[in-house]
Amino acid sequence: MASNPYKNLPASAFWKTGVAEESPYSIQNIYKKKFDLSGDSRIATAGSCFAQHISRKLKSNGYNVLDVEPPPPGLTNNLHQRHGFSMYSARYGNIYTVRQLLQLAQEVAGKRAPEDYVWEKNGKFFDALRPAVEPEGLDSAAEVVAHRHHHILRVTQLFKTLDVLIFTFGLTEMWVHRKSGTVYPTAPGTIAGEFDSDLHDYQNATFANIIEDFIEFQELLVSMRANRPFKTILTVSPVPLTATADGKHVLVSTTYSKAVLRSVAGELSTRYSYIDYFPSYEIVTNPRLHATSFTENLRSVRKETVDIVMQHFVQEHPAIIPASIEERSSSLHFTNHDDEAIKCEEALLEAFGS
Amino acid sequence: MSRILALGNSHLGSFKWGIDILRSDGESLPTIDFAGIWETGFRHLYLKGSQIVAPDCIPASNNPKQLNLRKAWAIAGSDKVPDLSNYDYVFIFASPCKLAPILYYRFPSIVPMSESLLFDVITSNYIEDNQYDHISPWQFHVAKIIHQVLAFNQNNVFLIGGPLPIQNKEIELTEQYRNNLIQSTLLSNIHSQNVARIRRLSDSSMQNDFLGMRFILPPEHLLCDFQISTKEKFLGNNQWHSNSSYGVEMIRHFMCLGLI
Repeated sequence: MASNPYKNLPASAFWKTGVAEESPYSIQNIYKKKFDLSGDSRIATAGSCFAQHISRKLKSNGYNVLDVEPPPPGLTNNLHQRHGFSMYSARYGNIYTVRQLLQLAQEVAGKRAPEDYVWEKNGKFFDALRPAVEPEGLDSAAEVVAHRHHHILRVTQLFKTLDVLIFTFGLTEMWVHRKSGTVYPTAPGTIAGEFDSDLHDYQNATFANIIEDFIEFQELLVSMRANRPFKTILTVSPVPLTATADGKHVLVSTTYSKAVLRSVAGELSTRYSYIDYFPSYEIVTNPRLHATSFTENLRSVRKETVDIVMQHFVQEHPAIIPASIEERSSSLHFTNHDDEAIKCEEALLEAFGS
Repeated sequence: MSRILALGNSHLGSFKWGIDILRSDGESLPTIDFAGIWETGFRHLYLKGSQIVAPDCIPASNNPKQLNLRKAWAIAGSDKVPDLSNYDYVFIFASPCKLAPILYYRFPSIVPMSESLLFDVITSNYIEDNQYDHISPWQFHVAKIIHQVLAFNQNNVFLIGGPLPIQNKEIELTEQYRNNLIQSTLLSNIHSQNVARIRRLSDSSMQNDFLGMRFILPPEHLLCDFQISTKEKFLGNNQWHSNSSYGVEMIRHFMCLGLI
């Protein structure tokens, strides 16, 4: 029989054996880590709402997940998320776009001052760059500025300390302040503020935009850290868009967004040895699951699906042994969020968008 | 005349002394039933119907006399356990005072807090388990009976808590906070704003039901500059406990508030 380049490939290389006949709950060879996460690795998490699952799993598995803005000791666990605590390594809320991440780093580095970021609603004031962390708003614009100042100091500490960043790409579509280019995580007028077409602009990032932004982010962070490098694990959120402002059908826009983000993650992880890609997107959207990964709204990922995703992650990055956990227990903050929902500001569009 | 139950752990003592002193001075005060048990027992109390009862058990730790809680627990001077249906008001002298920095700040940081976050912390009635056990396993705990009594009739329950630690005596947390506040105008401003808000919430809790609970703070003249500790002249038997003078001042405060 003649030889061909596919002849000796593993089962995972073929759709039939790798997907159609493979258990979607334990997909062989779908993820091979590029580097180890040690118990000492200082891990920071950020990104779209799906990143919260990874953050929680790592915490519960004993990894050293940083939390530079921990919740008050007198706040019960079920209220942490309401105020933006214990979701990520700082209280920045969901960072849906790479441009948003870049601008946060630029602000930390003193290279950018966000504009038009204090939004008002019913006499309360919100930080437009993280509007959901204070659900009832603050009493004055000055207080928003003061809280943001404190937040940026903490994020500075985070960026200087982390060894590994786990970031989940969420969206390509974004709303920006026309004059300054300040990117908002939510559209003006959804959680707070008011949409003004003279002030606010819609943008849909391209592959090239995002690659450029991410590289600039990396370079900026390294320079802030006196050239100390860091590693990154990228994921792409499998959660579809709640709504699109692109003028196309939301299914078309979702596919565009996910395709671009997945391509960016692929490009970056191929190009750089210190960037890994974890295929949570593929595990959730695997056709073998017949869309049962999602709840009835076909957006939210079922808890069972999240468990499947994280089992694949844990196979490559197993739990840290208990002894190591005990050694670090005084510096870590563990919470149990199994019963809690993931906070996704984007979902508020469903309430405010119509 | 209102029927009042004063419920608490060891912090109930200074209140009782205060009542005794004022009565001996001729002050007309209502009858108050006192029901207290040391913290080891207090955290075992539970509500059975409308009665606060203790289990039939002898705690192994912090129980030098090997007391059985069921036998140790009763209204002072009586063999009956308190029945909430018999009282118009319940004052609770246990768990940390709502001004305690350890409820809001993760040591040693001091952070700005919104009113809604302070609201949620105050109404949580919670402290992360075991966080300060290395300092004292007895002073940083919110017993389940407090939640149960609040759930039974929150509008007639007043949370007072224990006193803030005595100034210059509790050095592992309080005095470290003080150093941070002295050294930074920014932090002291942040803290002052938080304290002002906590006080406003306390005032509001006494005037309406929006908080879902009522809590009373020690008046400012009993506290040190940053309102993180109790003045040294009110030192009781250790850094966590206040003396009878503190009790007298607190009762005068309750009288000003029209509670007794």
